[in-house]
Amino acid sequence: MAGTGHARVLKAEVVVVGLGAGGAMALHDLAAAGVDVLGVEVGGYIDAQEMTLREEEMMPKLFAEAGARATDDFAINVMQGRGVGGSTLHNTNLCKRLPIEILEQWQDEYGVEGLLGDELQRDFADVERLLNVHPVPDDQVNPNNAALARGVEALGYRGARLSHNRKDCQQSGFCELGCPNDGKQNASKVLVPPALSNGARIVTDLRVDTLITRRGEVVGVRGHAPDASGRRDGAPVEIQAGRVVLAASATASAAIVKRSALPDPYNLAGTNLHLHPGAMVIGIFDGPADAPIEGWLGVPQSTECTEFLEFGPRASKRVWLVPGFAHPGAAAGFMPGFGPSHGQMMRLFPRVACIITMLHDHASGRVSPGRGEKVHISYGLDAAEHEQLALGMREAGRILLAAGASRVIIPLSPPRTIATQRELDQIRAQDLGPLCPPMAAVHPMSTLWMGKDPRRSVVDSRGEHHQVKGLFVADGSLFPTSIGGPPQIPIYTFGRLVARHVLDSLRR
Amino acid sequence: MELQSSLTRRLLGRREDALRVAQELGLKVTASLAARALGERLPAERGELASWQVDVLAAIIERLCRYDAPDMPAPDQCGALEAALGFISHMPEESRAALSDLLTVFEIGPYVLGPGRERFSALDATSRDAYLASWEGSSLPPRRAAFRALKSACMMGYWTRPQTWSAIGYSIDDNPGVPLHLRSPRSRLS
Repeated sequence: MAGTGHARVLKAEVVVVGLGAGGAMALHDLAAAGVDVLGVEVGGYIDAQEMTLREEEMMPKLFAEAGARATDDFAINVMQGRGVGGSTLHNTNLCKRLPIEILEQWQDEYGVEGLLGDELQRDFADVERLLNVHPVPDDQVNPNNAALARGVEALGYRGARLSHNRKDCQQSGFCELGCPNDGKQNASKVLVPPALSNGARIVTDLRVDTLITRRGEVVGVRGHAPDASGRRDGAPVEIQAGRVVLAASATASAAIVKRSALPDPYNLAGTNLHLHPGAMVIGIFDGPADAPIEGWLGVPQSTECTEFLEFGPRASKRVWLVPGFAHPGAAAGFMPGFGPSHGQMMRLFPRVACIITMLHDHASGRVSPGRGEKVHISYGLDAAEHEQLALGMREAGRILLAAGASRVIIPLSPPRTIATQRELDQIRAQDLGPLCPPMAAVHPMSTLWMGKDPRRSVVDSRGEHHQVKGLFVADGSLFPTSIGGPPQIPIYTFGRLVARHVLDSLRR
Repeated sequence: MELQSSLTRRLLGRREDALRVAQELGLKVTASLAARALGERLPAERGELASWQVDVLAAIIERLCRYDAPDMPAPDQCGALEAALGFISHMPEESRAALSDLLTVFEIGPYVLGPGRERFSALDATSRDAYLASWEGSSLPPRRAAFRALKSACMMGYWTRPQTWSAIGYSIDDNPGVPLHLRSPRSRLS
């Protein structure tokens, strides 16, 4: 590294900040086109051999803020990835394209161009081929997922088998702590090695804090590497580049933009945050004829219920129901109570099936930068969202009872144990509030969103910032609204679209 | 989403920032005053825990994870505190500092919130449980949030100890999808 003043200086034609789905795709495609591209990642490079399956070891490696990131009121735990591969290292491999209703809404309401033709669908298909996306086969649907499918079928609800990006999956069930068998076809495995072969460089364990701009154009980024202890800032680093692709996630990318005090005449950056917040409903299968569920074994999240999921601005039902499970350390934090009563609940661990009620949220929040890697997230659910959440929890409970659960636990404060369909109808929006139930979110998005009008959006349809030339965004921040489903395929695909526009801008 | 006007967004943003800063400052000042009242020193370095705060955390884990069952070891017999501290050490400095302040406030809380004129770690077991339950079921969301933060760290400490897993049927060794090198040596031989 060259040095000027106190900062170490690197140079590249394009710097990509963040190597999750969007950033890694941009790095991959730009390198393939012969661009001198440098990728920067705040986390490390974590090989499959380093996935130890231990929560206390993997959470700090794979998750921002060691997995303890939350909204400012601590009502919603916000789980986001870090490391080369970003959230694709720990996600459960869910693959869905953006619904057509969402694409129409983005075109009609935000003026986003180029989404409704064949080109985007071709890009989706190419990305799916690259990542080896296939429906989960019948013999890999574990009992936790089978319970949802059984309940959905019994009730006549709309449901489906999900598609995943796996290859030679050994069904260990440890997707969320990093696959020890290298079965995930994630960004780190599929995109980064060919990018490096094509001349891309990557720097890990480097946190970008600010963007450098000059006369309305981006000219690089500044950040810090950690000191020898790994816990404090060490050497400052500057990377000079004529194009910056910001792909550090909808929280970190927005925090970088806000910390850089970029021109923002309409005070948009960091607002419009959507999270897809979700709450867990627990079904207990402890009858004498019930086989153990052991939800930690096998492929997670292979089935879904979409009976209560509509898209678009007039959607009246906005909950996606998918099976969920957690390993003991995280699960114990969500189980109500403490001491012996909590212990009794934990004894049911092999006998529970869980359904996550995920909101396709219309409510929105805001991100602001904290010190170092810390981000502040302000987000609250309004009455309409609580109606949706209550609907989802009622229906998740109904599905579990229909699947054969002897009772379901609704984690309100205090928790409710319910054994009949009629009791479920008593769960009302008025009973819900902050921390009631505790919630988690894994899909932050929309903080630097696309649109035609600079008064109503942060970047244009090509992902380039309305006010700062050469600054592109290539992560979930781009989405003008929440999308109501897993975001990885859309983010990978938008990483590709943005890389194309970066290339065009370099050739202009 | 109905987009707010630029001015509204700016005002809302400033209000939220001001509220958050006030909350953080409030917790910091309260913790500072509480430490003085308790006759304790706050950690010299921001984001660290003083030894007496570690003792408070140990006292919380001891009650939250006291299951009174022969197959669920006591927290001090399985290294739950050390694991929780290890987990906390990876959080950002701001989060660790907030946790340090929270432990201080939690320790002095019984003087203000009941049940008696003792610090938390000096209460008997029954009173400690009642005090913890009052945080868990409080009508004030910040108290419930604080409880959730402490409980998450404690449970992560306790339930990641392999000695606790047999009671709940959880096992890495018996998982056929786990590569051999990640199973325990005894399991690999069998």
